[in-house]
Amino acid sequence: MSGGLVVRGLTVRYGGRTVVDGVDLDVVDGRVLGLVGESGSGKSTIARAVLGLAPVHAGAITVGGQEVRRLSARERARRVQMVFQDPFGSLNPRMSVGGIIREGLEALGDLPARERAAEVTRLLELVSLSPDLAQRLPRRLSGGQRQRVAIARALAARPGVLIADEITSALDVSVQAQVLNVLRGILAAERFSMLFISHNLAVVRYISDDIAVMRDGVIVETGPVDEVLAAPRHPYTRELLDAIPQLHPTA
Amino acid sequence: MTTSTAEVGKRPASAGRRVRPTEGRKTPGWVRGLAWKLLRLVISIWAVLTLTFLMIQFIPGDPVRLALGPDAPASLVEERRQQLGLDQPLIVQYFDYWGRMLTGDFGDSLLTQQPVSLLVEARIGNTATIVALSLVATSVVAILGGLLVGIATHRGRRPTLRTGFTLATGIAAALPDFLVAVGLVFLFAVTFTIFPVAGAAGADSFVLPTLAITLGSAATMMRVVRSSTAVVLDQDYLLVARAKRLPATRVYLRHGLPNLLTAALTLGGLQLGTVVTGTIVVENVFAIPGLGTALVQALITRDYPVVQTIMVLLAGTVLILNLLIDVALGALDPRSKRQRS
Amino acid sequence: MRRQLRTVFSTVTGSVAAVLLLLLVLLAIFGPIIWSGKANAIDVAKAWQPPSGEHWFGTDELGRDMFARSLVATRLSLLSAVAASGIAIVVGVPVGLLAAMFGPRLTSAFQSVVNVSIAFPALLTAMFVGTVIGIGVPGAILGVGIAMAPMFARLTQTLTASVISLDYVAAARTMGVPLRRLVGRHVLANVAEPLVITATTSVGTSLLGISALSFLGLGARPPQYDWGGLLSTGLKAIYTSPMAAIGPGTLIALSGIVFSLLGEVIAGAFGDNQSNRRFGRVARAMAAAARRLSAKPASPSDALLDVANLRVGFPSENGELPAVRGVSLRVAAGERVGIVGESGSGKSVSVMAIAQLVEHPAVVTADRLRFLGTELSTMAPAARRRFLGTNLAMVFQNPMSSLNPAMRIGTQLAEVAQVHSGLSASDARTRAADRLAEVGIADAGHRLRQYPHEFSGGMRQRAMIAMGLMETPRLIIADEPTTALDVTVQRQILDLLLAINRDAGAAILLISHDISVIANVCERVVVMYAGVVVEDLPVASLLRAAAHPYTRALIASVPDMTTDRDADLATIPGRPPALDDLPTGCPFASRCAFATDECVAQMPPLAPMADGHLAACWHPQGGAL
Ligand SMILES: Nc1ncnc2c1ncn2[C@@H]1O[C@H](COP(=O)(O)OP(=O)(O)O)[C@@H](O)[C@H]1O
Ligand code: SF4
Ligand SMILES: [Mg+2]
Repeated sequence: MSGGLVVRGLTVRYGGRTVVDGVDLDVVDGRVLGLVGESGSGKSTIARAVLGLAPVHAGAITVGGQEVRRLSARERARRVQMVFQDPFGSLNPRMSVGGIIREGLEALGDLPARERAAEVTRLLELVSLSPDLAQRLPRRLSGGQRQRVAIARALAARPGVLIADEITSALDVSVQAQVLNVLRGILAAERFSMLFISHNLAVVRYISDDIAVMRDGVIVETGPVDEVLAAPRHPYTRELLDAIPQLHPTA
Repeated sequence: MTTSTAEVGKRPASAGRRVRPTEGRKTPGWVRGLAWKLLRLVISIWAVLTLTFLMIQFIPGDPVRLALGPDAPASLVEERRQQLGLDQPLIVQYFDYWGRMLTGDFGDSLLTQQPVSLLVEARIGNTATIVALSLVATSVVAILGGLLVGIATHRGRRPTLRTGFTLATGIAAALPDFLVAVGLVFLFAVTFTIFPVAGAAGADSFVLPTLAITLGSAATMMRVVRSSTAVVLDQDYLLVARAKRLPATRVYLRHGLPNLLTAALTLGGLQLGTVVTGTIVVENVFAIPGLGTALVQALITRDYPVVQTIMVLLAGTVLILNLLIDVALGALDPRSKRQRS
Repeated sequence: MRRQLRTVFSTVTGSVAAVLLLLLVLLAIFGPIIWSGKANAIDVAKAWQPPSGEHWFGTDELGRDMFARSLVATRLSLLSAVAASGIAIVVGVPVGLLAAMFGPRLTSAFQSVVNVSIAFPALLTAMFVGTVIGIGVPGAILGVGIAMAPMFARLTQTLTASVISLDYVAAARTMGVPLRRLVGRHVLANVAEPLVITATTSVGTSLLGISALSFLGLGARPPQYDWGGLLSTGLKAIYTSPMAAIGPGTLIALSGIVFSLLGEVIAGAFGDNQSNRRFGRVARAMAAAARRLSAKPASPSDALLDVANLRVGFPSENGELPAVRGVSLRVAAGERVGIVGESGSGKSVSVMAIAQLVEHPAVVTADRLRFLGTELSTMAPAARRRFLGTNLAMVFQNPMSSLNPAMRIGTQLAEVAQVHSGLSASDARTRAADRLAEVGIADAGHRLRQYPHEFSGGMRQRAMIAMGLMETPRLIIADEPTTALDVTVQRQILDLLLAINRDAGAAILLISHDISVIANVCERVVVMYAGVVVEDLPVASLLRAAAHPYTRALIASVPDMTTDRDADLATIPGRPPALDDLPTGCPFASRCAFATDECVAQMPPLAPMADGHLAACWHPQGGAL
């Protein structure tokens, strides 16, 4: 299944406070759009609005040309999926890893029951986890393993669009590298588009094709990663670029 | 009160929740907070009055017949019905009730035909004494004890003290006031005869009733204070206070205590309601002529005007007490001044 | 679950509570069958008899045996208590669930109502219900049940609200999981534990409440009787036959305690319940060992901070957990040193130990812990407090929680100068205003009067730094000072630290998990892994000459603005060893691509590689990164 995510004029308000203000975004089919910005700038709210977890005040959100808010929960699940930031809060502590992934397959009901076990194995292998982990409870996994389980769960629906919200922020750098590599591998193997949200510009640059810079509920600059980073036009983008601590000297 | 720095309103990555920016407020926060609390008090008092009014209406069958018994002559029943105003339309009765309660004319007892206000006047002194003494004793014992034990047992220090404390307060908290009262009667009536065990003659007759109420409620609240002490002592700002190398007294009393009181009052405040109603029980055990003994008597004899009046008085006390706690909390915690609205 | 049950019964309290509960239940079932006859046998001639071999608790006004009556009353007392709790749960839990599942407005209205009703005394509520439906057992049960319902409602509401806000519920929703399953599998399953605990203790509470009502004559009435009723009968004869009151009283107290104990035991089994005794033994043994170890001769040194062989252990059930295992570290006057390592590598514990802030039960030892030429570990506490208060400043990771929420910023700054320099309150405030201005906070005079919650995260961290500058520190220890901040704010805070180092000459010990932050600020970097220093080198040679495989992997695994986007990132397989399972050899061996048998067998010492460059590795690597 394919079809990009198009957001037009999205406005989200919480109790009279505008958190996302007329945002336009294009996650082009088969590409990765990185969304950067400070905490509280509204990145996660966009993601939640796409998934129907935040109140949309105005605007349109379409996936593959269909307005997501008019889709049934099951139809939407087939089109968009999400991976969350907190590796400890995003897996139900009372369900096994296999159960967590299987639940998505069951909810969609696309696969006959006897093929589900094989699919769970395939998904675990896809995220470089041993299928033996299926019996385990989340508490016995490391942060990086949990995030990979969360990715496998999201991919179970074979979504057209995957939203990854700060999925490496809570991880140590060496583990972050594992998760990013897994993600890159899947992007190469399966065809879907991704909205990759992070406050870390270097990580966004590494994984994304396009980039959108957000501040105070507004997208201030967007375009292909190389262009935006080589020649930032908005002062805020420049400020962000200047603020990044550099390990390697830049040219 | 505006802030010029551009940083206001930005938050660190870890704080997921949004905080409202501080500019642009007109009424001071605490005024609005107090107004809100007063409103809540008024609504609660309205609810109590309405419910006690409706109490008689809810009773299945004829409440007056129930009260006077099957043998009472029909004429007497009718007379009392009129006295209670039960022959009037409901809405008239309702406003009448309000009028009476607010002016302190609580009506006449069904049984003795005496004005209820006389009964209240005669008995409120004893009850007020017991309630006030118990409130003070509970708060002082719980806060001091909980704080000291909390500091002494913080982070697994003195495991024996910790176990002893948990056990002792656990048992004391599980003992209800009426049992403690009976135990005290037994002890002081049979073994030591220092304190009187019945009646209200002289100051020392309040010692045992206060003790009976305080033991359990102080134990419960002390546990709350101890665990909030442990929580407060683990806060980063206490580590910072130590890193500033402040003297221990300043660390605990200036940085710890106010925050601790906030936590303890929020949870422990719930306990104070039971302290107030504790008086009902202990008055009955120690045969003290107070509102509690009158209430129980009236409940058994279905003397509705007396029941209504005393319930309203006790409930009102609890509600006002809670308001006071709320106000104290607002004064202790600068954040609440804004957040309550 | 099975493991948890085992924990329940392995504790003494657990077994005591369980045995007593079993006894109560057996009594409730068989008591009336066995003793009913005796309990109801009237013999007016034997009224108010004192206890005897025949009548253990004496007799009542009709000569009935109080002991038999007490045993028979178990059934009514327990059943009413369970019924009242049942009512409270049946009413409270659904209300709480509904309130949590529907929007925030309903929730806040609900909270106001429930908060008032929780603060409202249960006895009054119960009396109210009793008046309406009539005095008797049903009235008492319903009254107590309704009085307790708000507590269940609130508990359910807060628990559910906190679970619902968790990401796994959101994830399940995005998977299209049906509502029924969402509530059952994801919400109820995770709020069940605390509810079960509360339900257990609530049976005890109901029992006491109903007993109180019966005791007052507002519950069970003749011919029915429960313990509360028997107690009030007994009270009448307290002078002649105290057992008549003590007997039923003891039963009430005992059952009350059984249920609250059970609740606590269940709670303990669900939470991780550590056995204090073994813990205490380990702690004492470690403290004793530490006393023997300290008092090593100190060699003179000109470094500002000179630490040798610092060790920190935490006692645990499985023996000592060595969080820091022999760290040696020097900081010269005015130098900027960074400590880098993954979380749990011992960075924070090390600097807390250096700053003398490690708390009980941790045990700290060091061969040398000299600051400004003075050995800290042997200093008198009062003198040490003063010495460190004026010469050492600390900044912590979370600016949101580091400032006291109940005190004005000005007070928190001023008190430092009042305590250590003996300044008057007004002089201290003037100094505080100066320091706030120095760290770049505009309108300092006004800001002093504000509370921390009126500051943004970046400003709070500035205020923390200003607080450190109230005296003239020679060393500022900053533990992850920017981790909780946005990049642009991070830049400002790092610049501020650099400016202080330049202008005031204070040395800086900066801890970060982010090696690029260290590289931007510091002159020298110390790399920690599993409680030891594995490399110590100038920042200038980091990219050129880092020798330890861990340091090199750390550098390679962080993407920065020059990383090749077409290649995989370097990763470090596996994870760091657990503190209770540390290898004898190199702690990195299980993850290291260059590990040999030698590495597994023996711990590599921290050895000089070049001038000012130390590394702990048997096979140091070369070449630029
Ligand atoms: N109070 C404590 N009790 C037991 N272990 C602790 C305690 N504090 C820290 N530790 C352990 O010490 C180790 C080092 O922790 P820390 O210094 O905080 O690491 P870092 O700062 O490098 O992330 C960790 O394994 C941690 O779990
Ligand atoms: S000592 Fe051996 S295992 Fe340890 S880092 Fe060096 S090469 Fe790797
Ligand atoms: Mg740390």
